[in-house]
Amino acid sequence: MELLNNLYTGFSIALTFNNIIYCLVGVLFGQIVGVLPGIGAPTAIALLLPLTYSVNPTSALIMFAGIYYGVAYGGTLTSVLINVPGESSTVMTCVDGYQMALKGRAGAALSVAAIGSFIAGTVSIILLMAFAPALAKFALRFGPPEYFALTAMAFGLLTVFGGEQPIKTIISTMLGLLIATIGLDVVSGMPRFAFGFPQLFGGIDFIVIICGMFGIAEVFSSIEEPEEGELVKSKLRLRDLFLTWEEWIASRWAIVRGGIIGFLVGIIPAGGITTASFLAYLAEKRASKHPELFGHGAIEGVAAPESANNSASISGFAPLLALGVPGSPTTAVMLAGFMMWGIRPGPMLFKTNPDLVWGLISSMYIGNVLLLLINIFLIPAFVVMLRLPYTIIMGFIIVFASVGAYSVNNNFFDVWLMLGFAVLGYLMRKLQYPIVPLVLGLVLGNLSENSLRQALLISGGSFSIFFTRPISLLFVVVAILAYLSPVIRWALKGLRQTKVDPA
Amino acid sequence: MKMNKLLQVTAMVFLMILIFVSGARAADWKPSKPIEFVAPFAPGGGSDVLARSIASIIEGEKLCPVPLLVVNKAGGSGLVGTTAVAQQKGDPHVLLTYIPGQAQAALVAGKGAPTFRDLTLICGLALDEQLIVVKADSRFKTIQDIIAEAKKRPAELTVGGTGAGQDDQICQRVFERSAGIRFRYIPFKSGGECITALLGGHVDMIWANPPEFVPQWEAKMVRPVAVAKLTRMSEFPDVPTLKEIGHTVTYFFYRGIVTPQGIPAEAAAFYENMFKRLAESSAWKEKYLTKYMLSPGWMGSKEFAKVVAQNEEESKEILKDLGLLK
Repeated sequence: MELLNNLYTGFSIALTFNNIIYCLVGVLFGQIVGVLPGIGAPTAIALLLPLTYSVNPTSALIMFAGIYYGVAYGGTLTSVLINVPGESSTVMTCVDGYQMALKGRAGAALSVAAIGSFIAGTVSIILLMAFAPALAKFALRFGPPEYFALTAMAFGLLTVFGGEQPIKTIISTMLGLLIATIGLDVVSGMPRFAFGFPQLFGGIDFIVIICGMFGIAEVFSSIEEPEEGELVKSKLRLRDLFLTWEEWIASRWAIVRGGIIGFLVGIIPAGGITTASFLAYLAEKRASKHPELFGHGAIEGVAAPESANNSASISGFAPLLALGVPGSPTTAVMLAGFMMWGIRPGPMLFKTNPDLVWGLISSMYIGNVLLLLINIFLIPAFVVMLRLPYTIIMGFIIVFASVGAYSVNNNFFDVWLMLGFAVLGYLMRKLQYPIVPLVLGLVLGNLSENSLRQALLISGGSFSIFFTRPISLLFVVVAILAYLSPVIRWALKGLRQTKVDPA
Repeated sequence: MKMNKLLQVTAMVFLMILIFVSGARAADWKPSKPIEFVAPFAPGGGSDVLARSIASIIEGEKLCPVPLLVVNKAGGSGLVGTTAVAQQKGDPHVLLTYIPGQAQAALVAGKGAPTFRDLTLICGLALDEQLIVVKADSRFKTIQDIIAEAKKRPAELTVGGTGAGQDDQICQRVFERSAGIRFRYIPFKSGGECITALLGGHVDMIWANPPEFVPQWEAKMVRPVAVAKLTRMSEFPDVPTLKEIGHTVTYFFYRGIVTPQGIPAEAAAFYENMFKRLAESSAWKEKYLTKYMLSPGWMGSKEFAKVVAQNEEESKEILKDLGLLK
């Protein structure tokens, strides 16, 4: 009952004309920021922060939240259309989304992303509303050992890529981990693999690598095989733009699974929406009856990570609202905003500023509806873009990728790096190395290494810390099973054969 | 040989032109285009907040004829942004926020990293505070409890901090030496990760600046037990200084402004004057110092240079002690 009351208060605030406008501005802005690779939600919000000095904090926060979850919708567009992820959280969408576009199903990929995001997002808001404080408290039990065990489990899931050439998956993962170690080491402060370039002290930004390995490498490949680069040819019928019934049936469980994984990972501070989308993709491939279709335009491969990233961006508010701790770079900027407006975030917020909390949460329902409408209606406009000759689209890809790499740190050095990674990506494709494991190594490398070292510093060097804590132990067991799964499967096969043979 | 001569002559001519041009403008320098204001850390952190507060107050008080555009160049403990600014030698339209961590990170990183000698020091604006914070239900009631326990179990109590070889680890080493104890230092990437680890009970205590723990302190989830300062903070009158309990651990966490090297002296003077007027404004006190709980710490360029050099000297000795510097 209290919940309904709160919801009523929330909607009475979120549905005022002013706040609907702020919400609309936020999601539109988020959509645009999402399309631009180098600029993420934290930068966009930091830019707008000073302008909100005199704005009612609730309205400002509604707008910022709109940017935050709007970004995940926007990043999808470039991932699907030109294979350049607009945001790190939409990298996984490139893998199958772009393949779908090549087959003329760009519209379906975008629709399933929008619908999946909407469903997962809405469910996430309901869960956030009902359980935020309790879940946030539970999430605090995640310390360094749990983070390390979680990443170990994620790497274990990579065995799904192992199919024919496990050694290539392993090499690709290791390469990702290696690149992740570049820069100043958090524990000692010493540079690693910087070769005296101060520009490398900060490590290589994820976006720089992705723009090169996905976008530009794609251009290289299509220069080589011009016919293959042709996108949608000839006629485009209106019904081609939306999901077919079969596609909907195929993706509905992916949306549910992706949404749940996203919600759970998002609620853990430092979990992050990018990690959420990865885990959702890997889990989906694991669960799928036809994993061999992943990477060749499986619609579940778009539905799962897209649902996960939106649901994680919403559940990521739990640590901020309930505990006042930032769970992501974006919520860290919002925290600075709270200070500026003179509001103390944290556990007291639900009591001292219920209007703000419930107004914000209610506005998320509205924002998600707005985003769904915007995206569904704009899909035809975006898909028409694919009818441009590929030579022109290539130009777009190069411009987007370069501007993206530059704007991450406003540094031209990064553009050169991006070109280097484009060559690496091209070679890996040529030699048939899977790229996803490398990207996962990059995303999780730092978290994995830092949490391993933090855990061992805390325990004074004893590995027992990973086995004596229940959550960590659970992850470790799953990880070990995942690592052994190819061996187990192989052994079972052998057993069956020996049984059959004598008969 | 000839090439060398030619190069030398060109360089001389170029230098003369430079001197002439800067001399011609000497009388009254004013920025002629928007100023790039680099915050070498991610949005939401202390340096970012400082830069954005300054930009908005300067605009509000009309202290500068052109706007200050805040740009984040994060990474490498601030060294990425610091390097980018240091490389823009002679460009008077670039500003950078500067904290001791940037100087210390440069020492540890060594070759290629820009020290304060590669920059023009303009002024110090504020002083940040370092406190030791424990969970509200911690068995340690006071800082003396912590010292007693650390004496019983050397190098077992864990302390979270942000970044090795920087402010809080240096502060901690001074404290350890004075009290004759040892902790385990656990480095985290940000203040947010640090307070989260404390709330989860993964570390025994953390080093933190006030904005990093005040929300949780007000909700009675954490409490500060000591501050590394000469006098108590007005916001926490009950929290003793480390000096009171007999350990002279004071830490000068300055927050200042620098520009690239080789800018005209008049430009440096213009900025120093601009920031002086900023520091004297009431908006500065209300919208920055009070809001984010910092102490006023105006230092002109000469005084600031002295403080930065002294801080680096002291840090060097402690970093050697920690084994991070040869």
